[in-house]
Amino acid sequence: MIDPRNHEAISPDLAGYALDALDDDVRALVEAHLEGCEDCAAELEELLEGAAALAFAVPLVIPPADLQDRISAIIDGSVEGTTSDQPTPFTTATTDRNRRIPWYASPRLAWGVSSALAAAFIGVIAVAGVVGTRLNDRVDELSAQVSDQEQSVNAVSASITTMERDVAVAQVEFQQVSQLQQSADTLSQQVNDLRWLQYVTSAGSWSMPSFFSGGEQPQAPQGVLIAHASGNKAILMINGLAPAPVGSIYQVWLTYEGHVIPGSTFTVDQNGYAVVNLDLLGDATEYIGASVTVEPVGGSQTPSEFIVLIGSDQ
Amino acid sequence: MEYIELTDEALLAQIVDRDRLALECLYQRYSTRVFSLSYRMLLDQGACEEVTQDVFLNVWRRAASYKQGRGKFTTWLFGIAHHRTIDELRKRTRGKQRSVENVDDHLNLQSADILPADAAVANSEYAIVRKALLELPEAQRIVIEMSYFGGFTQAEISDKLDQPLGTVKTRMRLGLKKLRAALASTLRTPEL
Repeated sequence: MIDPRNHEAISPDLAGYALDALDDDVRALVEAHLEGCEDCAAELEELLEGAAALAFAVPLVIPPADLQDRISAIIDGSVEGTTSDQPTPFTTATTDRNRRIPWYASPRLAWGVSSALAAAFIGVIAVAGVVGTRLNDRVDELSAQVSDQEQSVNAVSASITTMERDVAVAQVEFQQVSQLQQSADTLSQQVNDLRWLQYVTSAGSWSMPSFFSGGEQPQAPQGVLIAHASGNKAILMINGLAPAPVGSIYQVWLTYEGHVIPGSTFTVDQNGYAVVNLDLLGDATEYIGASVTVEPVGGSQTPSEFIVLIGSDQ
Repeated sequence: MEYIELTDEALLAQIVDRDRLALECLYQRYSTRVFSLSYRMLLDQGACEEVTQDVFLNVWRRAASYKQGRGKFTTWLFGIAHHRTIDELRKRTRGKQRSVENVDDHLNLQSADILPADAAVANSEYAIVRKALLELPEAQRIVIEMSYFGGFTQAEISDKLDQPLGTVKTRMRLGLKKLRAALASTLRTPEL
C-alpha cells in the first residue's frame, strides 16, 4: 500500500488524474496526496489546463433548444423549495430514452417507405439514370467547387480569429463566412447525393428503398437501404455519420422471421459517407426491421443499445 | 449590467449570489462546447443532454467551490464535464471488452449546424487544437486520446498497447505539458 505522503510514487499519476484515467484506488491516493503537496497541486493545475484544451478538439454539436429551459425548471423547483438540492429526475431526455421501443419490436420498421417518399426516390433514380453518363464529370466539378469554397471559408475564418473583437467590423466577415459555409455545405451534399445515385444506377435492378434516420436534427445522419430485385442482397448507403469512437465500429442489424440477425460492420469516410453491402438470408420482403449500432471492433452477435440509425417510414 | 461583457469568473461570482442571468450567460458561452464533448464520447443524444444538464446544475450549485487563482474557469468547467461523461461512458462499457481501432478517428470529425460566427471561431479553435495534438510525438498523442476521448485508464492503456505502466504515465505527463504550452496563448478564451 502506497503512503499518500510518498511524493515520488504518486506524482507520476498526476497526468492520469487530470485525464480521468486512474482507477478509483489510485485516484483516492492522489487526492489524499494533493491535500498536503503544494508542488503537485501546482503541477496538476498545469496538466488540467492541457486536458481542458482537448475539449476544443471536437466539432460543435448544438444541444436541443429546450435544454436551457429544462435546467431552469429544475433550478426553479430547487429555489422554490418544491424539491431539495438533490438532482431532480431528468425530464425529456431520460424519459424519451426510457420509452424508446426496441428497434426490433417497432412496427415502424417494416421495410419499404411511405408511398410518396418511395415514388420520389425512384423518380430521382430514373432521372439520374438518364444523365448517368454525365455524373462523373458533375461530381468532379462540384468537388472542385467544394474544395475552393472550403479554402475560402478557411481563409476568412483565419482572418476573423486574428481581428480585434470589434463586433461592427467582424459582422461583415461573419456574413461572408456564413454565405460561403452554406454554399460549401450545399455543394458537399450534392456531391454525396450524386455519388449515391451514380452507384445505384450503375449497379443493376434495385428496388424497395427504406429510409434510415439518426434523429430529428437537420444535420442528423441519414441512410437509404435498397434491396436488389433478386431479393437476396441489399445495399445500405449512409451519409452524415460521424466516425465511430475509438475501439468501436458500426454494425447493421436486420430482423428476419423474428430473429435479430447481425449484418456487416463498416466505417465511414471523412465525409461521414459509407456504402454497405448486405447479404440476405431469404426474400427481402420478409425482413421487418433494420438499424445501425455502435459495436466493439469485430462486431457483435447481439446489438448494443447505442443505436445511431434506425429504419423509419419518414 | 452587461452580462456579455463580464468575464467567466465575474459571472461565476454572480452565480454565487444566485444570479440566474449570469448562469444563462455562461450557458450560452459553453453549453455547446460541453454538449459536443459529451456527444463525441458517448454518441448518444439523450445521455449528452443529461450530462450537459448535470454540468450546468453543478455550476449553479457548486459555484462557490471554484477557487479563483487555483485554475481557470474553463479548466474547472471542462473538468466537470469530462469527469461526468467518463462516468457515463464507463458505466455503459463496464464488463464489456473494449479494443482500440484507430485513435485518429477522434479527430476526423465534421462540424454540425451552428451559428456562422461561432462556427468560424470554433473551426479555428478546432484546427488549432488538432494541429497541436498532431504535433505531439505519436506515442504521447495516442495515450492522451485513448484516455481523454476513449475513457481508458492508464492501466487499460498499458495493457492494450502492451507497454509498461510507467511508460504510459510518462507519455501522458509529457504530452499534456506540451499541449498546454502549445495552446496557452492561442485559443480564444483568455482562460486557456
